[in-house]
Amino acid sequence: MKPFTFATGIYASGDWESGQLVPSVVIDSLVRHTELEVSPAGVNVPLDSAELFEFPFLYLTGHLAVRFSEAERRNLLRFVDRGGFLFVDDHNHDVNGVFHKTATEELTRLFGPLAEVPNTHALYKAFFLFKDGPPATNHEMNGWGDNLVHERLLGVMRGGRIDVLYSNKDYSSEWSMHPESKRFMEVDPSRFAVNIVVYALTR
Amino acid sequence: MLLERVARAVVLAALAWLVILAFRDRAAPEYAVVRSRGLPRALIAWSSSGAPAGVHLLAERSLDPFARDWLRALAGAGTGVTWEGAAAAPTAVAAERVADPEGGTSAWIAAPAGAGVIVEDAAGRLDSIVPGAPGARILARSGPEEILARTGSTVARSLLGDSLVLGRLLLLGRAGWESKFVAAALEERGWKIDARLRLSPRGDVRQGVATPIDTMRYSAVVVLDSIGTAEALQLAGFVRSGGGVILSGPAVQSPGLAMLAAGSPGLPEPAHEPFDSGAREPRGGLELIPVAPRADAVVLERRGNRAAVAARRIERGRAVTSGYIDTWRWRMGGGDAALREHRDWWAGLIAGVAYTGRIVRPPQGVSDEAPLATLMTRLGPASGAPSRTDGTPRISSRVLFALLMAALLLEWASRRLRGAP
Repeated sequence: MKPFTFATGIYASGDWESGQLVPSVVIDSLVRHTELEVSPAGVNVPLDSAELFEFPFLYLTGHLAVRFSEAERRNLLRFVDRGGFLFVDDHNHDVNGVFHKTATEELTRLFGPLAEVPNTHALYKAFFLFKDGPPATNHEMNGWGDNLVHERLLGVMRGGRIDVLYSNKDYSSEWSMHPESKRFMEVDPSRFAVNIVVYALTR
Repeated sequence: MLLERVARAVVLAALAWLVILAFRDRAAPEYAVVRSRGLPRALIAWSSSGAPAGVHLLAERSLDPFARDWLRALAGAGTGVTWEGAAAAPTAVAAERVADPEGGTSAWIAAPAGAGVIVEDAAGRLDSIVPGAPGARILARSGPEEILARTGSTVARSLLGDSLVLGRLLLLGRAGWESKFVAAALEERGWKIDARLRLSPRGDVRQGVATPIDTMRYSAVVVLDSIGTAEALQLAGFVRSGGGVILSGPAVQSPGLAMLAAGSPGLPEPAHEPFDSGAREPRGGLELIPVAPRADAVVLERRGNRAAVAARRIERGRAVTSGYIDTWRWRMGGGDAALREHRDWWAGLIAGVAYTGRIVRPPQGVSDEAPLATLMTRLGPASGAPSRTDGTPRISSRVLFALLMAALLLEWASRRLRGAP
């Protein structure tokens, strides 16, 4: 049986590799908190390859402008149609940054307009309970970014189920650390990643 | 004088015989030979004025079930009934509802190898098929109330007088891609799904209410991984009472589920990497735990010379064991039709085992699923016309009448010749 593998999408434009520490942190949290069978290492998968369909959970991030190629668009559309879960996180800390503008344009072009995910959505109780919706990040709280707390995540939903989850909260920075560093923290900051993965695996 | 006495005796005897014949023919007319086209009228006549002592049917076409049963009733009432001819081509059809939220009627059709069979429902033609040696199966998604299989003039008819009530499905095992995509496929199909998936020491993922596993709520249970002993015992009771179970993937290797398996697990065959999305048989690329079927199991699907899917009955229920691992890879990475094919395949497995309630309605007509077989059961095999219907000597009434007249004439002539008045 193939274990859960954290896959990071490689796209031709931008800096897809900006969240290189994220996979290990998420994998660490999954192993700590769940009995899921998890691959010990993540994989990087080109969006325009057939390999994409081997990994139904796909993480995309970056700081720069995103422009998908036709092959990437075609594969992403098929990926989501087949039941794959796409999690896109803006690695910038600003409002309407270039990644946010271009990535949401691309996603809208592919899947239609993004909708706000209600803070009562099953995503926030898929494993840990987040009563107030998406947890705020340090970058939102300490003023490094846009001094705004983004109250809700965005998504493409079909029948209430999230197929594409879009965050401009910069979880990619929040989860960029060595997993061992978490033991010095009061609360594991990547607990919300467990919710996202469990949601993707069970809904 | 003696001649006249003899002639009078003959006259009296002939008269008596004619009287007897008149009464006997009213009760039991002559032996009758009838063609199938004239049979309905003859049956009506025999019902109103007395049946013949024997009937021989020259069947040049298929018999109406009513006429066939009527003949059987005649035979039961003492009339000798025989038949010969091409009463019906050996055609049979059996239809049943499919346990699938999309509905549908499945029909198995048997006919002589190579014979063309037209399959119809009340609205018209559904298909034309040429069944092979084991027959043919068709699936009518419209869910017709009757299926007809027509071979020449023979029409086999299967009527359905019921509709199914489907319960829910229960998914057991471990949270993962397989549970997610199997649930998705079956939900897309229209099944209502409950799930109990192992996730962490904090608890399981639960969908639906926590109720005992019984046929009141569930039609079938899909087990995708090992489960606890208590749950396995509950599941065994569920199957024995008529429920269906599918053991898939790693569940095949679970010792706790061996009592429900249709076979024992063999050595796993690894998946073909990379997964070939263009393969004609996409399941051929999946990892497989071959199933060594039990003596009472039926192999439903093979890969090479290994059994991949097998089924068995367990008291009132049915169990299917599927050795395929990670069928989600087929759905995600298969060709253009993979989504539908994966859904259809899983729905087919479920339909094969699902427990269903039934709402029975009076059938609108008469089933005649195997006309020739029924005819032979009712009237015996075809035979030539018997020479007689009983062992008593028979003299025609015309001969008797001629004999009577001749005896009268002789008696009258004798008296005239001797001058008597």
